[in-house]
Amino acid sequence: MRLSRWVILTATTAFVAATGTTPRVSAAAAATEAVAAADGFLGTLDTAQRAKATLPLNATTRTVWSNLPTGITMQVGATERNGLKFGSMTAAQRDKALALLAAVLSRQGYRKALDIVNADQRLEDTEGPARPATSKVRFGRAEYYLAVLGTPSPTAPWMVQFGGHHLALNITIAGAASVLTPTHTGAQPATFSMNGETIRPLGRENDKAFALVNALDAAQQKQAVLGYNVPNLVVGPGEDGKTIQPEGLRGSAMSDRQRTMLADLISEWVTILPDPVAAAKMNEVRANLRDTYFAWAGSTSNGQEAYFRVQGPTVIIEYAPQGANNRPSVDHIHTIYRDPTNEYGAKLATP
Amino acid sequence: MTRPRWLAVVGLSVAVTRVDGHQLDELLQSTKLDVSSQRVSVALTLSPGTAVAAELIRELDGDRDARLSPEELRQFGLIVMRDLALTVDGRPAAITLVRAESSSIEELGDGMGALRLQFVAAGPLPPGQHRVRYQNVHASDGSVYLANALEPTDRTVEIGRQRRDYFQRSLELEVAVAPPHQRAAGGVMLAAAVALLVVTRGRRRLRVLKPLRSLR
Repeated sequence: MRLSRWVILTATTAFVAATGTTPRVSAAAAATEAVAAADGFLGTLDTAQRAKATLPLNATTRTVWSNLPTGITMQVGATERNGLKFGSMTAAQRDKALALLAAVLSRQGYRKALDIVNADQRLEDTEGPARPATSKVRFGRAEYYLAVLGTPSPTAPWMVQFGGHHLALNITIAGAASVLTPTHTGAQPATFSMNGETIRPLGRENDKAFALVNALDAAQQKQAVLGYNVPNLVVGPGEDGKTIQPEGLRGSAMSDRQRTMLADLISEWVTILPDPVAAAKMNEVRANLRDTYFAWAGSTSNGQEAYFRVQGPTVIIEYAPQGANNRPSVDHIHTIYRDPTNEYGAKLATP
Repeated sequence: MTRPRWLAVVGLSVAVTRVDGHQLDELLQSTKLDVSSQRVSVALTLSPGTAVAAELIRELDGDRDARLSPEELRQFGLIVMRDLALTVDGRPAAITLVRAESSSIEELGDGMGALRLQFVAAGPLPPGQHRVRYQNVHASDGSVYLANALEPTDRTVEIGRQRRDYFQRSLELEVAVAPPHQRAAGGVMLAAAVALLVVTRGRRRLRVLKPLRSLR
């Protein structure tokens, strides 16, 4: 059987069994659980593996991430991701690695991450055989890396990075606080079947955005819909520290219901983190909703190609189908999630 | 033509780094304009998809040695520069190439590489309202474009309305530049207003507290 144990964990029932059914009750408890999970993972590694999996946390190491597959020089110039890749782990080590991932993510965040990984495996299965033997490019489950930056601590800042093609989770943890920005999610294929289930890793993001743009009246849509084609992310990987002039419909020009829908859309990225931390971030997002812009480019019919951007004082989100001939493809999505005030947990007094 | 002094600092550095997303049969050209009162900086990233990478590599690798030399990158940057135009209040502004970087030829060929070109243009913007217009028509057949303005880090600069054509080959910005002293004065005024508010609220609080104290 080709499915490894960690892939089987994506089945909802198995996942719930593995992570428990009770929501976490406090951020402090989640932080303690994350430290224990990190120690548990690192404890399974031999010396050489541990040297790969652990790095110091500093302004250079934490920026090593990308949307790109293995084998391609990243935007920051590095040729390999931080950490130890799943393909270099034993089954027992992969289980512990996944347990760490589950400990630092919410249930839906963990599910989303593994759905993205499984989509990439599907891409590898379909495109890998046709790839020239000389190509260094690699996709698939084995090419996802897990890294621990700094020393796992219930008080001092440390970081978990999990990434591969179309996924870069940068989770900075400091005591009860944790920060997800910057984070990249993507999917190709954006829809696929697995174990009899239709998987859309970024389906809710797509559907909530289309619902919001269609909840706007004509005048609001005129403001929100940009009059030009947007073929890709503007502040994607490699664009740390850059904030563009906001455009689109400002939250102050929305109704309460529309602002609620906007917050719900943003929550798709925020709630990748565990509940208590995500709730605090969502409170911040809601407090700034009137100063948050929603911009759209493309069709407003769900199922068609469209780009959107959410930009507020503490959040930037972009969702960009990737395509060809000025026609983005709905089956290849890139997104970025940033907080211009708190990238890599800048507010947490990280090194 | 006498160039402003900031344009004189134009050392060309070449490095082998950096890539962006991956289009397939298009050349993605993404520009970010950084407008300050001293200059307009133009950062242009070109990311070729697999289907168009070979053509770009032929253009880049003039001596066909399957390697990109600093001079080849500089020459390519100059070719691109000829297809860029920047005007300030309708007057053309000189554009100068200051940096050219590229991924390896192999990565470009895989549709996963990128070239990053950095230009500077348009000398000091005096205080007042300005209209900055940028246009990129390089390889317009087969390219897609992004053109955006960064939020100014120069506190004297504010960007107002933005206009683009449908393909984002052009971007026009309304730019307001305040005199440095006015901004400074504005800052002082703001600080004074905040201080006044704090004092006023403090007095109100004292007024509330006094009766409470008198009850003790």
